[in-house]
Amino acid sequence: MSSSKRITKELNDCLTSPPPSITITLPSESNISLWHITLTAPPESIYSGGKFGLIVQFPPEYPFKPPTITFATRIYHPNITNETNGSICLSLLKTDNWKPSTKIVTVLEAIRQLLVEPQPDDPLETRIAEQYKNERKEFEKEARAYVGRYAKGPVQFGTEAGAATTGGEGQQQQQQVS
Amino acid sequence: MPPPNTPEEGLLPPQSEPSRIASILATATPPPVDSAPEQAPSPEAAATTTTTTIHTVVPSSPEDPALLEIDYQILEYLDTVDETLLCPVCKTPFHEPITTSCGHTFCAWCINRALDIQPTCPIDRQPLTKTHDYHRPPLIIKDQLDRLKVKCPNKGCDHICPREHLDSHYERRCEHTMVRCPDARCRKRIARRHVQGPASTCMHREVSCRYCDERVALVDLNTHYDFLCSGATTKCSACEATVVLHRMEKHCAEDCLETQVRCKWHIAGCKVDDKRYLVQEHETGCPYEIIGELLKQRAEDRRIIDNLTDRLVALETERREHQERRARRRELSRQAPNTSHGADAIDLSAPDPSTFFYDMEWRPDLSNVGAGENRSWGSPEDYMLARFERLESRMEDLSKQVVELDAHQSMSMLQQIMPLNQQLVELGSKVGVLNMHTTWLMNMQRHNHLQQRAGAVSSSGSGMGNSGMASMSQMSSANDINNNFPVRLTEGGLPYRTTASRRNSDGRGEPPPRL
Repeated sequence: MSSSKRITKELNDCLTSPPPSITITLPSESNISLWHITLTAPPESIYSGGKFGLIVQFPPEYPFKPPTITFATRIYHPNITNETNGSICLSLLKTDNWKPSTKIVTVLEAIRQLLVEPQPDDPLETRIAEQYKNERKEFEKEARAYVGRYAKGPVQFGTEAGAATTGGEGQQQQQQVS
Repeated sequence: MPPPNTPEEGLLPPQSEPSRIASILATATPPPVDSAPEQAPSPEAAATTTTTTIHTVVPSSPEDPALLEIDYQILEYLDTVDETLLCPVCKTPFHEPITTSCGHTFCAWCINRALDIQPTCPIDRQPLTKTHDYHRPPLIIKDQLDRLKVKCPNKGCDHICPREHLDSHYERRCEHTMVRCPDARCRKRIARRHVQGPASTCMHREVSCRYCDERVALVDLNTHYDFLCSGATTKCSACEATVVLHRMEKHCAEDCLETQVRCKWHIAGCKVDDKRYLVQEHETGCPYEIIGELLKQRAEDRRIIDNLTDRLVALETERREHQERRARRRELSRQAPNTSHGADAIDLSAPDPSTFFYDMEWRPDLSNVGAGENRSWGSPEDYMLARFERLESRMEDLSKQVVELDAHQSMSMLQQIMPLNQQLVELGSKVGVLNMHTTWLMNMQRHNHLQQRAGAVSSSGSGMGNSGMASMSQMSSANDINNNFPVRLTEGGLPYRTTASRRNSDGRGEPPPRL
């Protein structure tokens, strides 16, 4: 109840003054705590030209508990798991570090910044992190390849609201595309 | 128009507390709202979802409150609110703000909830304890919040007021506030404006519509007739509109543009009588409007005058009663003659037993106790109280005077004693000097005696000159000793013989130099 009020407020803010290169859609009119976000990669990052789908799930305790944010689009990044349901390693979003005063816009900005500046010292994908540190050229090549393969064209979120099903179906669809 | 039996959006069951901040600090339990399904509504659908939520929650609350509490988190603010006045947790203007010991301010409910989940400040994550680390925020915050213009949360009410007045509007005046159904057994709520008729009638009991077969709650009947009823319809003979049969009368009386009506200023003498749409046009510029307004004002004035006249009459009768009472009182005091206590003696004789009960009749008069001196005492208590007050004030005066006198007394004491003291000291020093002189003289005398005796014993042949010389030297030594005197004197303040002089006087001191 209280969570919905805060989410409504934030959604209104986002709709009235949309943050740069971020589009928010609601997959279901009746469920305000699930957001689909299309994030256009910043031009200064190696992912430029790609459009990434993010799924934001607000817990019932929001804003006292952090929202869960996953990448619906596959991305080659040291801090994001290399799967269709890519979890993000962002200190802001960890339960211990989460502050109720943080707005979702701030989180999205942080994720956008993460694309510009990966943090290989706090990786989720150690292999990619190693590559990022030692063979930057190889990493960039691979990352661009991923962008070309997954992050072009309309963003797929999957039809179901649940994160797990989203991941599964998204993968299938994307595989068909590729 | 929404179905009137649904609670309005923006209302929550109260958080189990009547008195505001104190209990919030103490209880800090989240309101039952939290048990509501988390299927959160979209902004557009928020209204309906909230409504259903409340429906499920209200009956389960332990006691049915008279009014649902205002949910400050979804209030509509007219002006843009400064961001510093927004709670960092709910992002709405503070409601019952609390400042933590780390200096951040939150709504009471938000900080309580946040600390339930994690005992740290939601902003800087400093450890915080509920209640213990709470402080009252600066009053300036409250003032700023109070001034914010808000819209009444009740649907259908367009009232706008500063936030501090919202409560009173909502609780007492707003006709759209949901109150308990007049029927005590019914758990549903009803807008205040729908409460009418005998108190025990439940406005939610279902009646069947006369014109269609639907069953409708009594409170919804009008809405049903106007918008939902599928009963027989007919065409208005004048304007050709399709109207539900049983609404025809209302339609003709209020809405139909073709019906013949009179100008609304006909009371002022306007003769226009035409179809409604023509009359409406005419009414905007009707020359009788001014007269009509004047008539209205006059009626208003008349009402006020009548009101004042009534009050005047009431006051007049009251005054007469007072006078009568005073007269009786005088008579009474004449009947029971006072035992006088001198010029300004206190009249203690009033409540003697016979008059006591008699006076009891005027007990209501107790309200104007101590109003003045020259009035009649309504009852013995009255009288005693007034007396008591007078005594008390006199007592106060007296004690003031005593204090004054005391001060005066001590001042004069000081003034007199100071010179005396000085004189005493002077005398003391004089006595010391005298003592000194006496001692010196006595010493000399004794020496002289001793020398004369010694001279006579040792040799009668030795010349007087010798003894004269000796006595001279003796004198000088005594003088030397006496030079110490004043120093010693200052120590004790009392004259006494120094040890040196004593030794000398004993004759055992330094032998006088001899030639």
